[in-house]
Amino acid sequence: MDETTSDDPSPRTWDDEPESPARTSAEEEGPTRTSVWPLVVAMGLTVSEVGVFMGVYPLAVGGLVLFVASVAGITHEAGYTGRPWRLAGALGVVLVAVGVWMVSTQVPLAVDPVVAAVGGADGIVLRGFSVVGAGLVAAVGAAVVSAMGDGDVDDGFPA
Amino acid sequence: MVGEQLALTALMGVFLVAVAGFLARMEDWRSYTPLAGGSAIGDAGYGGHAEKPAGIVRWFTTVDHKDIGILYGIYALIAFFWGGAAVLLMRAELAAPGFDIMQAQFYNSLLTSHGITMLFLFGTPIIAAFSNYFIPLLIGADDMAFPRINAIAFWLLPPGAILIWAGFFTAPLGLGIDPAQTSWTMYTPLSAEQANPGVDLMLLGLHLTGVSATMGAINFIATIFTERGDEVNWANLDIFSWTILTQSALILFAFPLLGSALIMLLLDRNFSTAFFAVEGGSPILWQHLFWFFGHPEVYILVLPPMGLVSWILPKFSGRKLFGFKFVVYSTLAIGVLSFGVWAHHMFSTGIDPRIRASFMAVSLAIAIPSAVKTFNWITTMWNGNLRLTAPMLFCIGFISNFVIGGITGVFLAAIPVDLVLHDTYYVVGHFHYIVMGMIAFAGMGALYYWFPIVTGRMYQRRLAKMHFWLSMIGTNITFFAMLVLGYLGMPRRYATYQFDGAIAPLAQVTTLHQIATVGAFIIGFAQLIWAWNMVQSWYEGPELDDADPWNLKDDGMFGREFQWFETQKLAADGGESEEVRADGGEVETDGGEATGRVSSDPRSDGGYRKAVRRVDDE
Ligand code: HEM
Ligand SMILES: [Cu+2]
Repeated sequence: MDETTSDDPSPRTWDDEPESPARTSAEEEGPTRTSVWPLVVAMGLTVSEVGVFMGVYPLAVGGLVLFVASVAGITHEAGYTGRPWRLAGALGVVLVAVGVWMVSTQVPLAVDPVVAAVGGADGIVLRGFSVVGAGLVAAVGAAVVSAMGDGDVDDGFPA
Repeated sequence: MVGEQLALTALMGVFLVAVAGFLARMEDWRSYTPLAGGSAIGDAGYGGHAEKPAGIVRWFTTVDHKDIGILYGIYALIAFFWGGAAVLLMRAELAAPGFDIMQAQFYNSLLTSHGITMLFLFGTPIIAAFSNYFIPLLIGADDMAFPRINAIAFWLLPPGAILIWAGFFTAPLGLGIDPAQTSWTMYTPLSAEQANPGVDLMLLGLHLTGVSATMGAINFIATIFTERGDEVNWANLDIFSWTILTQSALILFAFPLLGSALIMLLLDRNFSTAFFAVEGGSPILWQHLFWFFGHPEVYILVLPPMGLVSWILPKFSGRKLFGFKFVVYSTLAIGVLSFGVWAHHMFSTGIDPRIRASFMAVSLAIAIPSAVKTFNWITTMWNGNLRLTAPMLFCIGFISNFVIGGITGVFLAAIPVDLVLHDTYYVVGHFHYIVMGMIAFAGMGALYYWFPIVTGRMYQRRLAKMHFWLSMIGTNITFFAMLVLGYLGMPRRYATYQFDGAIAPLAQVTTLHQIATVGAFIIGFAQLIWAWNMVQSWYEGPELDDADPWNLKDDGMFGREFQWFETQKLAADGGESEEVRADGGEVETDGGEATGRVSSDPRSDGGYRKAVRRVDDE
């Protein structure tokens, strides 16, 4: 009835067959009634908003990473992408760009002025760096997980 | 310091990647927590339907529109009690002229929290509770167009509320984060200059609730446009769905603007921009932006309750809604006009008199579609076969309160009158006749009307009627006293009123304040009766023996949502003897869903035509 039953022997190989028949039947026959992701997406958005705005950097980074990961997860679950980690990586790159832009609004993008700004604890520059950091964590993390999970059928999540 | 932060940051990031990987494994939640006993009934071919994880996990992971509707409802009611508790403290303080039980700062905090909570955390969510649960049933859809987005929209609300209320929790800790004292309108420069980080947290929380409302609105528009069943077209779309559609359009235009204005305010507060500074964009800019959102917001809050009343009132009048088309047109007209009246909140700010006059004209014009609705409701009841059940009583109370609330609004829309009454209790009386007298009343009426569908049980009718009468009496005592206070010149938003007797008659003002306080406690008491009734009846109320608790079939008024309920019940009774929990509980049927949800000859009121038509039916 449903490809997600726990004792389902068939491996989920999105890479090879993004449109695998098992999947489509589950998606189309009736609305899915549960998902872990919405709660995580909401938490990610909240934590990153508070973190970035209030300048609590660990929260900013953690929240953004959580947000990126959960967006990738929910998009995958809804069938909009077959490769969530690739999406997470792409979103990470976007975050890096946004963070760099934030820094660039305050200081010229050269080593000395940036170091001076960080040393002077410039709020916006530090926030920019927290966004860059989150982007890097997301992008690198995605790449690593994606490499680890590649082709391993027992691994449960698609790379 | 920076190094420490960076280390923490890196650790947090790594930890979160681990969390994400874990979540990806958990993705197939259904396989992870199979239903105990496998009690799913119905055809196994209809995958995914009957399978919900048990217990609390179900509520955290659900994307079922009915479950989400219930979550919205519970959330809204918690907020209702928070806001109610705040206002009872304020009314107690106002029972005598001086500072008796609290200081001005705390009063201001309560005032701010009360307003924001009632509008954003109670009003909008209680409407979403009904629309989530019932719109898909009314239009014959399986679920919302985007069930996961629906769940995200809900889950943004609890963190939003925590941030909005944060100051109250952190103030005792001595962190220097206190509750905001900006009032719900957050006028600059006051809101820009309060250094308290509690204000930032509140603004961020508001922003999240705005994102949530916008996501919900997009979802409802998509659902009503694309997910209607085969037999539901624009001509027979029910009135509640029409009002939700209009409301969603208003949200789509209004809330993103609020979000942007909030961000501008946050930037002004934290990053020395000057959007709303006197020497920058000016404080009046905030008022324009806020009210361009704020006035549509009041219609965002009132249109769906109007739809609920238009839906429920005919059921107990034994007649279909009079002038259905005109009720729809007036809804659309109000939706459009509501964007052209915002400056009636700013008549006394010194804006250009010619601009003022045009806003006065549009504001008066909006009274026309409002009156169309009122007359249609009255005509629906005219010569009808009225049955004064609790939902019906709340609908009638709604209309009566709208007459007073609406007419006082028309007075305020006249510039010369407003210049006298602006910022007095008259304004407070006006909008409370609407927000309490209409929005809360329609919400209560709908809760009673649909209680049987959601719980499969009946509430205690006697308590429900007591709830109505106490609410009606309390509301009119409290808010009529406020209208009179306004005429006497009592300004709003003050914790005390120890003024010189030459300015206003202090003795009368004191008496009227005491009357308002008594009324408020009557309302509060009524809600306690209601809360007890809901909880007690949910667990112990008599179970329904058929799907027509309101005897709507007799009048040919058996709406689509009750038809759906009937198929659920039949499937349960006919098939296995297991109980069907209509709140979407663990046992759910699928068999009947495809058939019979929509009658073969649907009408715009959702009833079906009987072989013998009533003479007064047309
Ligand atoms: C017949 C239609 C209406 C008209 C002509 C009208 C007019 C007005 C005017 C002119 C004011 C400004 C008073 C002042 O501050 O001096 C006002 C305030 C207010 N109205 Fe209405 N109104 C109408 C309906 C409604 C409805 C349906 C709602 C709510 C759902 C509502 C909610 C409010 C609120 C909340 C305020 C106070 C805002 C504040 O805090 O300053 N009004 N109304
Ligand atoms: Cu207005």
